[in-house]
Amino acid sequence: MDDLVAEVLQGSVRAMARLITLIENEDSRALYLMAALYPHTGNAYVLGITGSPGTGKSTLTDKITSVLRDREQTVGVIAVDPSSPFTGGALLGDRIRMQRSSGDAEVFIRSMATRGNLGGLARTTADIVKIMDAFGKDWVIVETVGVGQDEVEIAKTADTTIVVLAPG
Amino acid sequence: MFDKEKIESIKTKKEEWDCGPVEKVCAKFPERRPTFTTISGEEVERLYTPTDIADFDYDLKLGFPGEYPFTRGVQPTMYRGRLWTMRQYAGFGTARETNERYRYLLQQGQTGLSVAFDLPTQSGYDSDHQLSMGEVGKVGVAIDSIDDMRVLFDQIPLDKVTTSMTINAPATVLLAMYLALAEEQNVPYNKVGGTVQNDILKEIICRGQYIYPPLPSMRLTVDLIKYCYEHVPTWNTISISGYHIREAGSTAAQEMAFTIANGISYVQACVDAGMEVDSFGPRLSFFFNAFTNVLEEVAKFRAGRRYWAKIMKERFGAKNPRSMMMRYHVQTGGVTLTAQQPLNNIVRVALQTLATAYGGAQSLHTNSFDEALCLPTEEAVTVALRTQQIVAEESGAADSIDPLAGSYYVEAMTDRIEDEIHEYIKKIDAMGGTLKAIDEGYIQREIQDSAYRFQKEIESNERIYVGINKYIMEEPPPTNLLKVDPKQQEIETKKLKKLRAERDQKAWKAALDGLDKVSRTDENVMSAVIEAVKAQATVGEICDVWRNIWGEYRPKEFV
Amino acid sequence: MTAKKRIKVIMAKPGLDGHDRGAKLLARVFAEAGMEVVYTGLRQTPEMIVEAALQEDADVVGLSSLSGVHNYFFPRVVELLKEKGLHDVLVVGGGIIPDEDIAGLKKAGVAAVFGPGTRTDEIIKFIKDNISGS
Repeated sequence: MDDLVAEVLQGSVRAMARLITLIENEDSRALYLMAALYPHTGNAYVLGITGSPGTGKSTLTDKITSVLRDREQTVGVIAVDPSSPFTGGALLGDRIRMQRSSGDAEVFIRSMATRGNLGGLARTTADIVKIMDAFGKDWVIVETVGVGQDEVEIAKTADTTIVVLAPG
Repeated sequence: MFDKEKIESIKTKKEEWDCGPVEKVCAKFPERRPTFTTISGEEVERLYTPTDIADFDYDLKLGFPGEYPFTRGVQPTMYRGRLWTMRQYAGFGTARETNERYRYLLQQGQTGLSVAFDLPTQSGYDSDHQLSMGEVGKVGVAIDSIDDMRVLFDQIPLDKVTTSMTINAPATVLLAMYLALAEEQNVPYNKVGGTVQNDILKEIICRGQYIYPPLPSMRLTVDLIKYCYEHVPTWNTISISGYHIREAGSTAAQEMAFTIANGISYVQACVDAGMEVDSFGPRLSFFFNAFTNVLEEVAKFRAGRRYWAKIMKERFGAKNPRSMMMRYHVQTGGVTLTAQQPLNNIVRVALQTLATAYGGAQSLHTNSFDEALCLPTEEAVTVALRTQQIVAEESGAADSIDPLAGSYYVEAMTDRIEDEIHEYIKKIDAMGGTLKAIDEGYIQREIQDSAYRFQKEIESNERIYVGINKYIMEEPPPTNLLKVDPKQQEIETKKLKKLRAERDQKAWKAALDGLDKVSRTDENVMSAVIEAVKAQATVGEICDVWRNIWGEYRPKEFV
Repeated sequence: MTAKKRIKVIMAKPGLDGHDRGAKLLARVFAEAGMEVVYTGLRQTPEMIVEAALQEDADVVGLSSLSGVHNYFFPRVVELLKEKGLHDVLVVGGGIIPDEDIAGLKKAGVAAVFGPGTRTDEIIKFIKDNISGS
């Protein structure tokens, strides 16, 4: 398990993806792994993008990402979609809306479901930001559906938060 | 049709019948299901009577064949004059192989050609493009340049056949090749007949063969329509297609509604480009699906014809009756075919053919029974064509015009589908038009919801599908399937290499530069495209000119 | 394995085929069965599909093809997954796939091939029975 942290720090995408899964699953080992990763964080600029569904958050994320890529910055994206309260499943549609970036292997996109409780989500998201940060991404963008409480939670993690509103 | 008193008395008698004999029988022998629905999920009554069409006005609702509102058909004599055109969609492998299949079909009595292109051609990529890997010659014929087109129509005089081409995003390019070929055969443009699908909106909604964003795509559509109006007067410039909307899972009414919504967008775009509605209106054509529920399909076709006529007359102010006629091609439902017990598909196709004939179509493609398994074999294609011939010559369905008119059931269902179409059009207008409704994913979601509902009905056995959830049989794996040579891409790549080396480089460069220049203005691109194909520019090269100017469409997908 | 673990699926359409009724329908049905589903959309190269599986740490990759290109695309996806070290990803395919091609696809590492008319609960059961726990 310690290997996972070492591999993330060495730039293994596979290790980063698996570590994120452990965080999402609230795996008991996660706390210990995060502690090992923590000294390597603090370098990424964290951007939160939030707003109601259909306002174009993914499109904006995609465009910002491609501008950052033109400036030779590396980018990690966390795209959060709601889980169904009935089945626990989720359709994660953001990756497809970021087609410009999803073809670029230097952009790490992770689609994530809310899995119920908001407090847990905020903690999980903060941890995943740290993983991408420690991995060496220059920018981490967190895109999530904002509904009041949630926006505030994102703002705590992000250096800058953008609230996207529909015109009119 | 009936006076008030009569209706009232029928109503009373029907109630008595419902509460009397019906209830009595149902108490002893319950009906097979609590409710009965069409394959589109529309509830069907136990019995239809004059009360279901109480305020039916013959002149307003039906009229006569060849007359407004064309409910009963677009020509005065319909199939008594001439049978519908039997047009089998075919194409696979090389142009040479497809040419042989065409000549075989023409010998068998087929009266029109229908070209299936492979996916690289439909997406505007040459056979040697990276994204063409594995796709060359698979679902249709691979056409890269006018040289391939020449082989495709070898020994087929273009003034003697009509040709329908299933091509959308690069429709201008393939039409240009066809016209250039006609010139080589000394056939004047006004003797060339056929159709290009040229319907980009349904590609964006559900078929996926798009290239450019909607606005420049619509510009190509309008340029083609305008050019043909001026130079190729008998060409059907667009085939506004509900077929794929239905295949993607829509109901019958949705198929008609969304197709008409797309049609409204095209007409509006042409009007906005300065064209008179009656200049291009008569050349618009449609393309629909036919499923197995015969009466629902018939009602759909009749409702669509009536509604489109009203749209063209009342909304767009058309004066020429020909502009108001919904003329259409039908293909039997691809998704209605089963891979299980494939011979059963022949029966499905026969019923769908009957629905098409009763519905009053202008041409028909019947699917082959093996198409849920592979591309059709020659034997299966022949049976499919014979199915049309049996319905046309033996069943009597072609002998009297619109023979189901006046059926309480068919008229009630025709009215209901027309109402449903109208509700959708109102809703889409309120959203700001089709492009907006597509952009917001509204149309896509409506279709997917219907597809989902259907799947659930099948899996819960609420709806029976023979061979799928009832009457299932163990069967040996099918044999005798058609295979496309996997070496196809190599062959085409070699040909392209040779073409690129041997063509007149100067003329080629000049033609592409000319196209680039025109495309950046508001001028019609068609002449420049024709020059480019004559200079042996390939489909991919021409499409790249526009990719550079307009970029590519990236859908926001909606699940 | 913790209580929070969910099956993550990548649904992809390789190649130029635009018929996505089946792929979208399954995406929805899988989500209803409690899975987390990423639908990649049309015109995916094997490289794009595998990159998505890698980043998303997917348990399952579902491939849908109706244009007859499965013999090229499906094995290529399996091969690339292995190259990236994603050995335990379950690859399943569906669409119009002749029976005679199935043995070859299975040999290439495709766990199952579902033809037209397959019940969706059958596919869900196969996935649940065959993914490797972590």
